[in-house]
Formats: sequence, C-alpha cells, structure tokens
Amino acid sequence: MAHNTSPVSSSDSYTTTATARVSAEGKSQDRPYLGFGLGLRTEHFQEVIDTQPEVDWFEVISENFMVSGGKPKYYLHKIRERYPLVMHGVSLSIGSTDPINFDYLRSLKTLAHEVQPAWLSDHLCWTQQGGINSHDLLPLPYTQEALDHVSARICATQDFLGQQILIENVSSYLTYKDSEVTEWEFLSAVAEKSDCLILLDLNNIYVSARNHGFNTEDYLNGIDPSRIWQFHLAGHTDYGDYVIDTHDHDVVESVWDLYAKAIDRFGPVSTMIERDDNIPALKDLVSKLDVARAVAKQGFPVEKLSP
Amino acid sequence: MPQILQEQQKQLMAYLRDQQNNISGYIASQGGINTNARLGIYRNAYQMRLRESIEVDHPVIGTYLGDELFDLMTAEYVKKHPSQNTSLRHFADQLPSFLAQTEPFRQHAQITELARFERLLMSAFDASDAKIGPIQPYASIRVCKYSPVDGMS
Repeated sequence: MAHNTSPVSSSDSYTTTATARVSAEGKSQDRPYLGFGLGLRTEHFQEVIDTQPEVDWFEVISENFMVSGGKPKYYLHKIRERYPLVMHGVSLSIGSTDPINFDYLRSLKTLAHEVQPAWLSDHLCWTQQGGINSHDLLPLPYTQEALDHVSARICATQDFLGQQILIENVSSYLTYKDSEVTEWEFLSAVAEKSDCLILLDLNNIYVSARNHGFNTEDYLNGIDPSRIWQFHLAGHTDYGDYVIDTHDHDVVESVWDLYAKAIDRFGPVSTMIERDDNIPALKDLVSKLDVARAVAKQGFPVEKLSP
Repeated sequence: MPQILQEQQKQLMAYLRDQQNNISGYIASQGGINTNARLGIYRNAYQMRLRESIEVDHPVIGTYLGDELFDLMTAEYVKKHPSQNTSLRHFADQLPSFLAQTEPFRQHAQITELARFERLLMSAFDASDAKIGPIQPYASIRVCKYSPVDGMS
C-alpha cells in the first residue's frame, strides 16, 4: 500500500535520536515553539485573569467558544490579551463518511479570525455518522480506503481554512479486522498525503499501546519529527487489563518517561497538560507544568525551552 | 464514497445507540479483553456523556425528579433525540418539548417549565450581547397584579 512508503520508514535521516536532536536544534527547524501550556477550563477563567499564572500559553476547546457572545467570549478575549492561545476542536469529524460540515468550518474559521490562535487542531477519528454526533473520538480502520478518504478531507479543510491544521492521535480500545498497517504508519501517511501537521498525544500513545499491545517507542520512531508541532500530556484510568483515556487524573510516571523519550527524539515541542474532569486548583496544574519543564530540561538547555 | 468505511461507521453508530447492528463482525480479536468488552467501552462512554450533559445543564430538574425519574427521562431522551449538533451545548434543546409530550412527565406542566427555564438561563450565559432593557415597565407593575403562586397567599 502507498502508506507503507511514508517518509518515516523510507528516510534514514529521522531514524536515530541523534539526527532528530540535530534536526530540532538546526536552522531547518521552522516549527513555532510556545513553551509549556495548559488547557483553559471554565473553572479557572477568573483566576487566570486575576493572577496571570506562569503558563506560557493556553489551549481552548474551539466548540466551547463557537457561541454568539456572553461570558465565554468575554473571558476568551480577556485571556487572549495576555496569553498565546491554540484552538483544539473535538467535532471536526475528519474521518466521517458524512459530507464535510461547512457550517461548522465557517464558525471555526470565524472564531480563528477573532482569536488568532497559533494553530488549530482536531483528532484523527470520526465523531458523526448519518447526521448524528456521538461526541466521542471513534477510531478509523488503518486501510488504504480510510487513508484516501481522510487525507482528501484534511486537504479540503485546510484549503477552506487557509492554513495547515494539526491532527491528533486518539486513544482507542478496538482494532478493525481490515486494518493493514500500524496506527503510527497510518498517522504518518495521513500527515504526508494531506500535508498536515501532528499533535502527538503521549498519553493516548500509552493508553493505546496498553490496549493493543504495541511498543510506545516503535510509535515515536515511526513519526516524522518535522510534522510534530505539539504534545499533549494527560492522565488516564488504569483498569489492569485495559486503560481508558479519562483526563481526570495526574499524568502517570510511564507517560512522563515517554515524554522524556519524545523530547529526546523530537526536540523542544510545545507541550500542554490536558485535564477535563476532576479538575484541580489552577496552582496544582501550574506546578505540574514545572514537572514537564524539568523533564524537558534533561534533554535540552533552558534557553532552548523558553518560548 | 468509501463504502466499507461508511458501513463500519453505520454499524458502530447503531451499536452505540443500542440498535440492531453487526459491528462485531468488523472487529479483530485481541489479547487482554474480548471484543464485547472493547465495544462496550465506547457504548458506555456514549451513553454516559449524553447523560452527564443533561445532568450538568439541568441540575434543578435532576433534583426535582429524583434519580429514578431522571434516569427514565435521560434514557428516553437519549434514544429519541440523538445529538445532531457539533456541540453538546445544544444536545438537550428539545428537552422541554420532549417533557411536554412524554409520559409520565407531560402530566405535570411544571416539569416542562423548569426545563425551559434552565435552558433560557444557559442562553442568557452565551447568547449574543444585547442592550439592557429598561426597568420601568417591570417596576410599574403593582404587586397586586403579580401572578398568584400556588401555595403562597
């Protein structure tokens, strides 16, 4: 299949840690770097404005602000005055076989125009079928058919928005019988074919690795470093036989280890911690960013890690 | 149109919604947990997320109905009104009309009213900005003209 010959597997230049590190520090690296960020949550709006915490940037859920006005917009604009933002969507449904939802894309574009985010992202998945939205990030089979379909839709979306988007790997709990390649081969091939960028969720890699029994380092080594613009870190719930991506716990040790390996391979990449449920005090989340900074510092000097 | 992909998506969506489907035929057996358990994670997440969305948007209805009736309401609503919007913010938009038409809720008009009021409060939170209306028309209503409230006199 075509997506077996992605640059990841065909190019030697990205297969060693040393090369990746040189690449990350070299002039050719044109990825923007924002530093260490947090997901902006309603609970923390006022405190962020009042206390201006030591957070380099915030990620907002696009759909939460695709509203006419009122308090959410007020806070969004206030916070944007002080912090860089990136917009992260959950309803693009890029892998769906329903028609592309241009009404949704129009509101997304309008919001992006207002907020001027550093970039836009969504997930490599589908959420909607037959006009019904599952509000879940449902997995795709890793087939040529799915590759062609999703890549064409990313191209159409990027054309409409007038910019590249970042596509994130999701946690998954099942494998389709007809999948022909690994998840990372599929993700790489999609990025290559549609010329999009990648938001690599390290917790999702860990969760899916546990659920499907693959090696997390094989995943990292299979991704072209030049495509990676952002990392997500998050917590999950471990049930022993399987792991669910719940975003309601702290980042676990194994995910911090994977983060260290990812930094080693991909260089300084804008990193944020996601927390969607059981949300702790803002200062606790800010202190977790210090853990991320400390892990990243082992791989890179401080000046490389300052946005 | 990618036909296999479309069929897989139809079948998985039907499974999530507890409708007849043949999704398990598309899913590989793996170690760890079996196919039913793997699929079950998705169905559970789908049902829980929609239920939670109603819980968060309608705390007063939740308290007023109690657990048993609230569970009945959410189960029926999730089945009859699947989300057709990209934001969960609008998932329960039809809840007031659903309550006005569905037994046993329709027998108690105040349940519909409560639900409608909770949704209006949400709209007040994120609707487009508007000028503040003058207080005079309200201030000039004499107390004796207020609508009577049951149980108060």
